[in-house]
Amino acid sequence: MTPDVEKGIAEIQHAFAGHGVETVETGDGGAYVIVADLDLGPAFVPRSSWIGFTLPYNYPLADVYPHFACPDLATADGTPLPTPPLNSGQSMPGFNRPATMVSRRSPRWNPAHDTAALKLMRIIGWFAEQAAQTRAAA
Amino acid sequence: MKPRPQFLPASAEAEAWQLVLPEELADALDAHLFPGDEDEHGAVISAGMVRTSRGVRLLARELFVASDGVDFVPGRKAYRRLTPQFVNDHIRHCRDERLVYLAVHNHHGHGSVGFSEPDLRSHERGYPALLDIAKGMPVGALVLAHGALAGDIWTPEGTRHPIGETVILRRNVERIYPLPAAAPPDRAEIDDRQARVYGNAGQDLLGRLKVGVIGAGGVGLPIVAFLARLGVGHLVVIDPERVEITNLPRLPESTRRDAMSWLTTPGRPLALQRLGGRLATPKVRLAKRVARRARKNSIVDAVRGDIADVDVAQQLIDCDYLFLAADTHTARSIFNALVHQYLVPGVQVGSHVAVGGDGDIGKIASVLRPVTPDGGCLWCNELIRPDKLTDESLPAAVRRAQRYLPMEDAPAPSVITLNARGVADATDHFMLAVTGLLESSETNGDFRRYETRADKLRTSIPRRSPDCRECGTHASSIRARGDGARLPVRGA
Repeated sequence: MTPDVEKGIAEIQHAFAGHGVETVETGDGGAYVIVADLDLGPAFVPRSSWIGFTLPYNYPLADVYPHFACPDLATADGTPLPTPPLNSGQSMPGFNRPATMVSRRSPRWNPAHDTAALKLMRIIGWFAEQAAQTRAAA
Repeated sequence: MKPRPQFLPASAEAEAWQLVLPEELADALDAHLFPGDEDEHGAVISAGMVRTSRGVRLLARELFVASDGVDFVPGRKAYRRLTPQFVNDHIRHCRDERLVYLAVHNHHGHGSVGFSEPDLRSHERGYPALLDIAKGMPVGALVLAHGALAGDIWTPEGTRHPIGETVILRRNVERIYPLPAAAPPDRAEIDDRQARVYGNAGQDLLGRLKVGVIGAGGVGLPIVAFLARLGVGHLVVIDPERVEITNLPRLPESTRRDAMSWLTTPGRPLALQRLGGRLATPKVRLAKRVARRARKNSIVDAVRGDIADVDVAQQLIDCDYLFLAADTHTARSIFNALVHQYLVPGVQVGSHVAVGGDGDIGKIASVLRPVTPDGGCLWCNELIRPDKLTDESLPAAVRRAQRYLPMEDAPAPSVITLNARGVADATDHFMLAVTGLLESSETNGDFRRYETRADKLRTSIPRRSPDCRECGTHASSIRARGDGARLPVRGA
């Protein structure tokens, strides 16, 4: 792994202390990462899921996307998953796990400030926002 | 304790090193050393290093000016000296940052300069101790006069090296020496007409340059041909692909044989088509053939590989100039890093044909973006997309699997004549910049976009972001770190 990828993983382990963090090397300097037991908020079932993603060899120049969550992810109110950004029937690279893909690009990604940990927080934030939007629509 | 090496006196036989100064640092140094008072002034430069078979280059990163009477004071054994505190602060900074410490002062005169006897004695008294502090990094001194620079660099291995050439990365690249350069050799008959533009010195310089071309397709191959005919002595051409029949209209001197068209024609058995694909000429081999036909003694490193691989990108770190003629965001990212980390100026060139959803042809443009360490980088101008870097970093099978929206896989339209303008503009810019013939900076900026259908030329001044991790001057930028930072490539 490159030093920047190792640093990105260390920041994730620090920011998500208490959650299991698994990594698999991509073989070219990057890493596949899975963070366990994250709370997605009340809009989704199961409410808790792992989230996985790739840190490419050119991280942090490269955006961290897409993310992956558990394969049986569904909305709590039974409505179809919003596609995009959610897309079921996918696989988490590096771990060969069936997964639901969460495709959230960051057009304003700035390698000087953005990190994989911050991006994961934004992804979790997006899941939480869906509950707020569902309530507002109701 | 490790014994100190025995240093030999500086001699003409020692391998000369090169120093590269970005424009803003050179201007600030010039203003500090030569304010018009005809006195001596002092400073320290920190520099990154790059070591290759071509020699050692020092890449100036930071300038610390010494205040007269505070940091630069009258000396007992020399006219002026840097104070121990100033030296101590900056040698420790260089040690911590793994940079080369260079003490700088000036003499008077024009066109030639050298260290005085007291200067050299002070190096011999002080530099062994500075090397101890520097912990594995070289230390040294520079002395400047107007239009001249000399250096005395001491290494932990016990060698001493002069600075043979200093390259100043202005819009016109300047080269200065300790002594006036010797008269260039007479030009060969073949170069008579072109050397009447830039002189025998320009022709001789072109022959000594090493120039990298990233991409040997419809833009890169004509660039290689032009550079070879200009007389550029050493070309490094990088491309992973082989010639295909659809390339032939845009690759000068390519033939159907290069594309193995009798095997690859649709309708042939798939096994034959695949065999033809494997037997087709690599584009870099075609580029080498084109260059050698133009100039049979030119050195051409034909690198069939992906610029994203570390051993491929490393071939460019000691180039004098780079052409980016490949239009992936990964190639842009690595080119941009090479320009700033290794202080190699370059130009991005390409053409683009916009196609609407209904197939209608939109704007057709050729772009030219000179990129220098102080000129505004591709990151600052949002010309590298982080999401595209992610896409391009994935194996093709993973990328395909992750697509859930229909994506356009049709090849981009491309015409040789549309490429020609960018090729000519880029090679003109290079030729004029390295031979010192560019006129003063364009007030509207050096980034150019020519819209062919509308016959409009648009220019823009590149933006610069102070917190850029590549062109920024802050502590964590890769700027001028040379071998002390890693390129954004696979396996680095």
